[in-house]
Amino acid sequence: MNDQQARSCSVCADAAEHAVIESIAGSDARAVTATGETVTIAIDLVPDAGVGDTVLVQQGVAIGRVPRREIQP
Amino acid sequence: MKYVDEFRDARTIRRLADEIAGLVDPGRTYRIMEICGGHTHSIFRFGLSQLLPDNIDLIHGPGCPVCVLPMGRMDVGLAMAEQDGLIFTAFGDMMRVPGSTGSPLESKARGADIRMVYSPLDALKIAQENPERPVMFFAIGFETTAPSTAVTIMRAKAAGVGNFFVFCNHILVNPAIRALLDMDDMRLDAFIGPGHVSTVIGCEPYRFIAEDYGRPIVVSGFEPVDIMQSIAMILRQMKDGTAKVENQYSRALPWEGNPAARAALDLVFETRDSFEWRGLGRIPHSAYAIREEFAEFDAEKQIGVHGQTFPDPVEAQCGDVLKGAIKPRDCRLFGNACTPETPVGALMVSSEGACAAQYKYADVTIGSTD
Repeated sequence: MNDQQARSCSVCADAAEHAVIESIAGSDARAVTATGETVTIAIDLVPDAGVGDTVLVQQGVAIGRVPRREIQP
Repeated sequence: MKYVDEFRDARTIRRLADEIAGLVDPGRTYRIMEICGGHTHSIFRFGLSQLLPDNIDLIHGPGCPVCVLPMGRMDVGLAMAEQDGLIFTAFGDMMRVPGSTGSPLESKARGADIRMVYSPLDALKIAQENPERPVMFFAIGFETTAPSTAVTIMRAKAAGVGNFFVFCNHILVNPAIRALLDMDDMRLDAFIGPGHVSTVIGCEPYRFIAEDYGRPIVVSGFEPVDIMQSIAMILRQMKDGTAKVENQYSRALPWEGNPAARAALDLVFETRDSFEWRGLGRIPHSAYAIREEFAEFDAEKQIGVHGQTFPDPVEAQCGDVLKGAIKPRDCRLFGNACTPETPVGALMVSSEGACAAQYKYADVTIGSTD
């Protein structure tokens, strides 16, 4: 559990965290979070996102593309 | 950690505290509501209130979905959980939320099949792995969590999953803000807007707060510098006599939000005529229901519920805290009958609840009723 998760409630918006997309397979992607954890996420809602983009992930689903690369895993 | 450190920098926070002190008019008070439970948590965690002038009062708003869920909805969900063969799935933060007959964890102890999931997609996977059993997901949250549920329902339909059901408790932030602004006994001067809800809905939907009610709103990030900077931006507006929507969180939040996420919400959900909020009563058009086109996944329609629902316990003063009428420690149960270990009111259950946050970070003496 990283710092973000430790202070967050999963039903609340602030549990969302940023992750950088590393690879894409259909509607799913592998992404790396700010703490270096690799996760599988659904990217149905970020049709323009590509490898190298930062997305906001809430409960395993990317809900938005972050305008600038905010994190460096 | 790059960027996080920068937004927790003590010198920057002190500089902003000085700027805020210079912006306030000592002859008046300022009641600023942070809408999001994540902001509430950060304010307590970093002791930000102590850095503000005494005449700035931060009101902790209804932005914790667990906290505003009426006990009756929990009762309905737990009644579903006790149906033969049903697998009840929910986020970990829901496991200790009390219904009138106990929490999901207590139902599990009584034999119900209660499973914690990280994502609604995990619940769908459980349904696909157990095709002979109904699987229900207890969906809860604002416009940030609703897209995850929408995607899951869309994937369930595409895959033809027939044993997956969603108990929809998704709520909407702006109808609640409007309801608060319309209350005769509430005085709110400005708002710190929710950063991640806005990732989905964008900043435009808040315009009514500025234009119809003349209140500034600054959408904010979650780090201490973000929140202090947002307060300074609010005070600058108030000093200039203006009221507008500003985006402090522009490094992560596009002004327009995410149209694709909103399209998914529109596809799967419709707004209910009204919905009950703990402490706030029924608020018109303040929650989602699953559209008829996806009714096969609607637990309220597909799973017969015979449970009896009960109102919230009257001894807890969650509603008064949610409206900012009292501070958490002013509740008669705070720190004695109601603690994070034995929560009576929902504000003590979730880590984002104002009571849980104050209890954890304010060095409360257990048992004190003063």
